[in-house]
Amino acid sequence: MRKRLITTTLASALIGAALVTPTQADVTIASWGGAYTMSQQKAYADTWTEGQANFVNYNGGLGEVRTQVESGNVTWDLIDVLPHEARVGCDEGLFEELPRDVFVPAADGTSMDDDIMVEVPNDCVVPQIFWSYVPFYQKGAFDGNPAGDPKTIADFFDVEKFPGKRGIHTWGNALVEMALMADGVAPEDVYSVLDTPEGMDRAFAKLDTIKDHAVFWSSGAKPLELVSSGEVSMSLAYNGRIGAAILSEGAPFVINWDGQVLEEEWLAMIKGTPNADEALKFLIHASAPEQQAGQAKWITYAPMRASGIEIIEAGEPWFNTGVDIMPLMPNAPAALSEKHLFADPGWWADNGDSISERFTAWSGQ
Amino acid sequence: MAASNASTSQPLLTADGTPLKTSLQRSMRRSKLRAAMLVLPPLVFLLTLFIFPIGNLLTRSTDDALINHQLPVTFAILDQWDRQQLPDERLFEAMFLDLTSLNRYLIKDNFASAVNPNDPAWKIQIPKKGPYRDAMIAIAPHWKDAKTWSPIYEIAITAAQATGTEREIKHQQKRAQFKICSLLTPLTNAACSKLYTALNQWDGVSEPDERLFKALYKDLASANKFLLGKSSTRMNYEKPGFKSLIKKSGRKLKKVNEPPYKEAMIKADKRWGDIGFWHALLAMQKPQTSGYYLNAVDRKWDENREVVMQPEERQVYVMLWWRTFLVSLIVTLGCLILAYPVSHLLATLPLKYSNLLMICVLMPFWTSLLVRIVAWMIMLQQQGVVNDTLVMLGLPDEHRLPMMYNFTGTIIVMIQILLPFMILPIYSVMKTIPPSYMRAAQNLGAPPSLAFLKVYMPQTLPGIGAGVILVFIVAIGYYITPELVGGKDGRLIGNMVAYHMQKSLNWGLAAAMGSILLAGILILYWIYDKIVGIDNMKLG
Repeated sequence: MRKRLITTTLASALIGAALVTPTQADVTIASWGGAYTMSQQKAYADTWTEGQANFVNYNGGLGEVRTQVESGNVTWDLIDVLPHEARVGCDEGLFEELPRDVFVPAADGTSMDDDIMVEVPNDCVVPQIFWSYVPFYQKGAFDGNPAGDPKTIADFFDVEKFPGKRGIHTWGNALVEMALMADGVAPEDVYSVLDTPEGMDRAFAKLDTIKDHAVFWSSGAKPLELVSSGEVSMSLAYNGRIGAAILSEGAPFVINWDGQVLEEEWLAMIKGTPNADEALKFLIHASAPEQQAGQAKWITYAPMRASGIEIIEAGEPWFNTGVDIMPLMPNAPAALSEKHLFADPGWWADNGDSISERFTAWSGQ
Repeated sequence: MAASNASTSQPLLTADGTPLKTSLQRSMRRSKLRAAMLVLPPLVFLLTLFIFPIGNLLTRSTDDALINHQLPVTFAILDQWDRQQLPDERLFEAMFLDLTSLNRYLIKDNFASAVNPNDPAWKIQIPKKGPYRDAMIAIAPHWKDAKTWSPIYEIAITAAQATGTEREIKHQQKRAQFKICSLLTPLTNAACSKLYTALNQWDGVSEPDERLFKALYKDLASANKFLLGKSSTRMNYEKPGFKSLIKKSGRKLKKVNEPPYKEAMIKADKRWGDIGFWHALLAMQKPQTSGYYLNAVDRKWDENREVVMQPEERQVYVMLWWRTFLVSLIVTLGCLILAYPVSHLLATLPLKYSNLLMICVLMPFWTSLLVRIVAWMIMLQQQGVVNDTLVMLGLPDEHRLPMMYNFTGTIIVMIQILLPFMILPIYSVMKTIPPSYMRAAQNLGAPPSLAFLKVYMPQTLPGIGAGVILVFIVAIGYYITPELVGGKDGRLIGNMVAYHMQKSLNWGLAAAMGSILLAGILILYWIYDKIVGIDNMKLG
């Protein structure tokens, strides 16, 4: 009996030890899950030969990263971050600064940093994708409507001409910018208008016009459900989610690119990771133009590198099911010819908290 | 009586000759020790996972040390400013030095009230391209002494001798670099890699040379960047815009070498000429702050150090506190009303049926929270089952009831989720009440309602108390349900705590809200104890 007890204890201790000892050369990447992580798995991890890449899901924000770094117990190696986190993480020293000359240049020799379609905020991040907040509706939802189908961001805010509820998210990002664009502010003036108290009031006054017609969502799959069930006639959503529904399930959704707000997505290395060398190799692989373009085979988020877009354009039909993907790319020439705005993370770093409070107060009244 | 007689005459002995008293004490001690060992694991568990985090929470909610490390001189002379008009050159100079120089890491008295702003060491500039040694020793002579270096030298040497696999060695060395920086700076996330290398090339006793000072300078400069990043986040809580002000002007100020600093700073960014940013500093001046607590109830310090309301459009927390309280109250009452008859049924039905009913109660309890929430979404949304049925029964299509993604939705779903917490304690108490009591009351002439009120209900009070406390406490900190079904007006204080933990990284504010929540629960518990009495509570 006693002997058995000892053996079981030993066995469980051994198993426990095996579980906590990480296998070598494994790179752990924290990402958002779902179709997005699947696209990263296919485009980056499956094509990577120098090691094994594993994905874990997280819910955004740097809370977990800060805990890991400050306690010195780093279990993630890389993280997929939003523009705001990309800056804060580097400023506060939660990410490693990376050498910039090791990354793969474009085919014409342009260095990676110059190949990225926006200014690189710091030395901690490597490019991932562009994604955007964009309004969409179901084909036929406005049949028989005297004003026809909605076309612009102003139409999204016009519940008189385009009846029905509106799906919007429960935080302020992109909404205040869209409200001003719908109110006639030129995209390039949006942030300078928002910098004045009157401009901010103006944005919220515009939001007031749809408040009683708004259905709020907080998870990315929700707006698709809201629109297809008819609960709302139009909704904002992440462009990749709409694209995935159109391409994979043949959903009859129509995207209005007018008024879209584009956001960046970056990869960064967590400071103090014991796998820094492998993680850097993975980053070099994942940020190369081919892999950037490759991700768009699986999801309609767009590469940040101009050379990635070129590969896709030349390779159409690019999507894995053999259909064209450029019409669903937020930074394709067609989409960018409409009114649009690249969100300004610097502005949001200053004003994110106060907008969050104001938005919560606004939506709760 | 007999025992005292025995002890006065002669001590009782056990078989082996030791006095009975000693022998008993020894065995008592042994069993006490064994009992202590048995409870030790849960005790350690409790201490590490409960007491320690709560202590940490409380300290974080008032801690403002970081910003005091960043702006020592500015805060030391801030009180001399009249606060009516833009500060003069002196305060600008202090701010300039605090933002750009590394002197604060070298000078010993560098924190809060210990700072001597008139110490000339604050103004000594270390040449950016070296030589570093002379300037750094001029700032703080004790760095000349090898003893000052010995703590970090020990760390570096120990790590360099680490054994194990290549990977483990590298990890040890990396951790040593972090440890060195954490001794020199208030940061735990900066790596002093240059210093680590330089220390390992040093013998530990000879006078520190230029190479060491150069490494020290470089590593401090890199750590300083992170401190500035964190400080600007902190400053931005007080006044939106501080973050970009620090970041943008920081780059330009690197090129400024001589006074007047006031002009140079305003030229670098005109917002330094805005008195509002200077007023915001007043709220951060003490290493302990009540600012987070004030923020959690929509208040703040103004330039006259008086507590004022936040600007109207930012007032959100008081409303959320009330809403959280209200939701918890409604949910508790709703649960009680629904649970009481069900529990009674469970307690009085024959075993055959009551078991089945019990499974019906427990089944959702065992089902995943998310599954239940999604099920309610399908039921209650505008195009959902309930509304479709109502429309079929004649409700006009445009008047579908909004029951999801709002206050109502939060209440309905929370009641369903928390119902078992109410049913189980009430049921377990009702189970012990003999049915003969009611019969006896009626036999003595009481009508059923009176018999219920006077005889049955008072006996169920302990169960009700337990259920009410349980449901209320769980409801008041609820987070995931309101997040998913709360929509515009069903989000609670727990959601804001999560937002500040994960997204805004304002852990001080999150900790303050957590502490208020904890205090609120303790107060309610105390009130409950005064009114109902806590010994009256029965969980089963």
